[in-house]
Amino acid sequence: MELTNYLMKEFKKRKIDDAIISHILHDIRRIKFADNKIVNTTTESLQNINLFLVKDKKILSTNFKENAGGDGKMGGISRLEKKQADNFVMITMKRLKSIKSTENYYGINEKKFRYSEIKDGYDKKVKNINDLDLLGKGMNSALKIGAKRTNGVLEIHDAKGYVETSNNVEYKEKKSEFYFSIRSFFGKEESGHMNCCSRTLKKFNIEKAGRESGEIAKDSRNPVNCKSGKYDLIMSPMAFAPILMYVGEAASIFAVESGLSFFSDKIDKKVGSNELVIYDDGTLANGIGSTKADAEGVKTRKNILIDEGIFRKYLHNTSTARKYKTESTGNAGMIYPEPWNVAIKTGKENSNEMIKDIKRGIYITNVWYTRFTNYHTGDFSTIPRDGAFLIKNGKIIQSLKGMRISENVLKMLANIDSIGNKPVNLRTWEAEMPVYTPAVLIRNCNITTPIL
Amino acid sequence: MYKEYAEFALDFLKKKGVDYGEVRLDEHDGDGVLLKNGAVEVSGFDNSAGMGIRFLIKNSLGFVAINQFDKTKIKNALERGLKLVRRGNSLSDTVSFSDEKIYKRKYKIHQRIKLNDVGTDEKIKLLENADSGVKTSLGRYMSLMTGVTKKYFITTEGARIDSEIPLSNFIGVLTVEVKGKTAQRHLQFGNKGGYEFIKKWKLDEVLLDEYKVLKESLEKAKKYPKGRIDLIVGPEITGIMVHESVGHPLEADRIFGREAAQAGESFVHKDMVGAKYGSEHINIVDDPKLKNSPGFYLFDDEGVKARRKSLIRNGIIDEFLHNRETAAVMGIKSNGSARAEDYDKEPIVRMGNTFLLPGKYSWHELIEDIKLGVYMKSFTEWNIDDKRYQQKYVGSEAYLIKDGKLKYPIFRPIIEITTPVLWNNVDAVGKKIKLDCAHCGKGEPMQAAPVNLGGPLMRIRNVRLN
Repeated sequence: MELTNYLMKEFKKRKIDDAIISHILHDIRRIKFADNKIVNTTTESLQNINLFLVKDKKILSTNFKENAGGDGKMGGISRLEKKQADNFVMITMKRLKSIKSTENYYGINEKKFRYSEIKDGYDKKVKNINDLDLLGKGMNSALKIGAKRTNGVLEIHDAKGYVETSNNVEYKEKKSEFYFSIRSFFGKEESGHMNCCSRTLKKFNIEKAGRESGEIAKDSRNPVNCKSGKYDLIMSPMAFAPILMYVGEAASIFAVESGLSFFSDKIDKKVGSNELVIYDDGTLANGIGSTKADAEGVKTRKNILIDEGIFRKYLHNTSTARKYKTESTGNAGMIYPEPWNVAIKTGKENSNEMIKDIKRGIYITNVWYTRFTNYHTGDFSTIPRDGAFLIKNGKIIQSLKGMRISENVLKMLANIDSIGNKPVNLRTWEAEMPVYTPAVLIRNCNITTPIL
Repeated sequence: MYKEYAEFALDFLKKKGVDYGEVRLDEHDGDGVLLKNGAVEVSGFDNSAGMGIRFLIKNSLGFVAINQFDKTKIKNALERGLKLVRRGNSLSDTVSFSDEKIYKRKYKIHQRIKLNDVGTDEKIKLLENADSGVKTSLGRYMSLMTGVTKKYFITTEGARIDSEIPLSNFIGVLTVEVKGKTAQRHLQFGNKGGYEFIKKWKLDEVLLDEYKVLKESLEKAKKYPKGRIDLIVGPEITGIMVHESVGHPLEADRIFGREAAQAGESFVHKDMVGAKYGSEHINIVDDPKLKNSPGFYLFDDEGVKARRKSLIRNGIIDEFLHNRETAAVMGIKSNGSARAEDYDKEPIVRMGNTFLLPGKYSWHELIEDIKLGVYMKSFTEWNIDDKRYQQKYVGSEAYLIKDGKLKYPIFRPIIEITTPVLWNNVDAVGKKIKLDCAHCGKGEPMQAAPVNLGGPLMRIRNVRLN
């Protein structure tokens, strides 16, 4: 903190227009396992000091590399740190001169907020938990179901950060996260995958994740090749997470301006089914992406993106909000607006009730390799993997393999017919951005298969 | 400047009695520019450094990443890492590394025009110039990242590899609209070399050409034919096919299941060296030694000397991609395929530059006897399942072939095909190779590695478009 205060003071002396400095200390423990054995144990001790600086509408993003300290303190920072900081400030100011100004910059937040702590945002048990006991619980609950092989990762994050801006806005925050990803195998073709994520140990149900991955694997035995055609899809939270992530990304005004959003020109237009409500919530209790304030110190909030099927707003930082004569949504990243936890409003049905309501459909438990033909139109495909189950006349009748969802995001949003009642906080390999979602039922989706 | 900390970490591991220890110090110095619709969104520079420290204790593998150059903090981080690995020993897999020749080498890539000597203003001008010809498009996103990475790799076995590698990377996305319909193209260029390579990319010409192709496609492209056809794919598609359905499934760590949870496994199993993979026209290599390529290295991130690897020879699997861990499992030597994309990532089995070797056919010879076919020159969307068996490629620039001639552009032809059908149906390979740059994603946590992928034109007989 002393170092960032010093850097800020020095930049202000040089008449910088706007500055944001964030200082994050991050400890990570990660155990990777394959075939029921640990294959690597990782610990990371990382420090990052990131800066966003503006002078005469010239915008610079950079980081400060701290060297070894310890040669005597001078007002909170070492002599060596001071020397490095002075050198860094000099180089940065020189760099600022050599870049070009932009028309599209309108400043950073000036307002001071009274921040609220994120509910269930930090758990001090993160420091002392027995990682191996935890891992054992997760793996064993899959093995008890009968899984032959389990593979995955247990990650435990302990981070603290400090942000200050040239407008004297500042905040500190601690974040913990428990993350478990387990893929269980029965045979070569039968697998189930489940992630669980939580900011607190109490809500980190690692045994449930292990058990569910084992159950999906067990149920997926003897899969047959899927036939192409139209199906109603129940997408589990793991399967729907990437689609929800892309919805969140497309809501950023940055994506819209870049031609990379299927929500371009969609404000106040119908983009989803009548019941559909999708929002981004930086304040979500136990939300993996929750934070009390955004990168420029604006207090985070819940922003309704799609309300009863109508697209309502883009995600903004202070600069883009001023450009479009609106208000910041509290979504500033260091460069452009980004969502925190993209969420879909919970419905009333459970998966069994959804299944009963399907004549011809597939229950999809996971997807991977989601790629777009065109982000502007939303045309994409993604590959169901792990358990996928054919539903006929309200019953699961067969395990499937070898299919692809070849669809359009807007069409899928319009065809959401039912939303589940058991939402979960998730981040996955496929959906790196956190989401909060239950299972959803989407009618009339296009399934394609390889042609031999 | 930081080498003494790397030496300190290695000495500490030795004192602690590890069976094997390595320290990889990465120092990066670079900058970047992002342009959105012709205007500078942000410029930046990155000056970072850190150490990735790996060790074996009683056949258990540990990894520590730290970017705080303070001996007490390094010592504490290592103590913590060692303690965790020791505690987990009874639950650990038995990891061992193949015996390899130990090298002490220093190498660097020459830059005729040093990347870090070229000012940000000039790099902005280059992107602005590229943007100037495509201003009427709906959306333009362009980023140029350049920088130099110095790596210092030392092991308890005595290896000492000191390298200095400049890397540049351009990513562009162009969205073109005609009468309310849009088409999009993602472009990437990359080299390990000086600024002279960035000039060679001729971004202004390439972007203008791509703009014209997208526009023509939206204005004139017709529906593609259903039913069985012959397909000629351009080097860009040959490259992605080679990468996704040959390179990845032959990564030995996938074959042994180490990446099963996320990056996936492989339909290839460990006894398939020598098995038929495709037609006799298929010869595919991975060659990290291609000068100035994005996947270039002379020593991998385990200190093993790089060499060209023959993955498929005349349609037969010749060798897998190995690091020291997978090579030990098979009782062979590593072929130098371990890469880590930053100091905070463990080295895993990766491709470098993977491509189909040229054949004998001219364009005329490839096309002349096709009665009904499609020439797919470039692609937009693609994906493949996590065993690398069934894959999809959506054409971007594509044309109908009739009676041995190109007729007219067609819109977004789609091929969904299995790996054996794809490679067994190739009956002719062109003479001239072209390579493209891409970032390959693998591992948990995800690592994006710069690679080359490519090859010549390739003819695939008797396939159906989806």
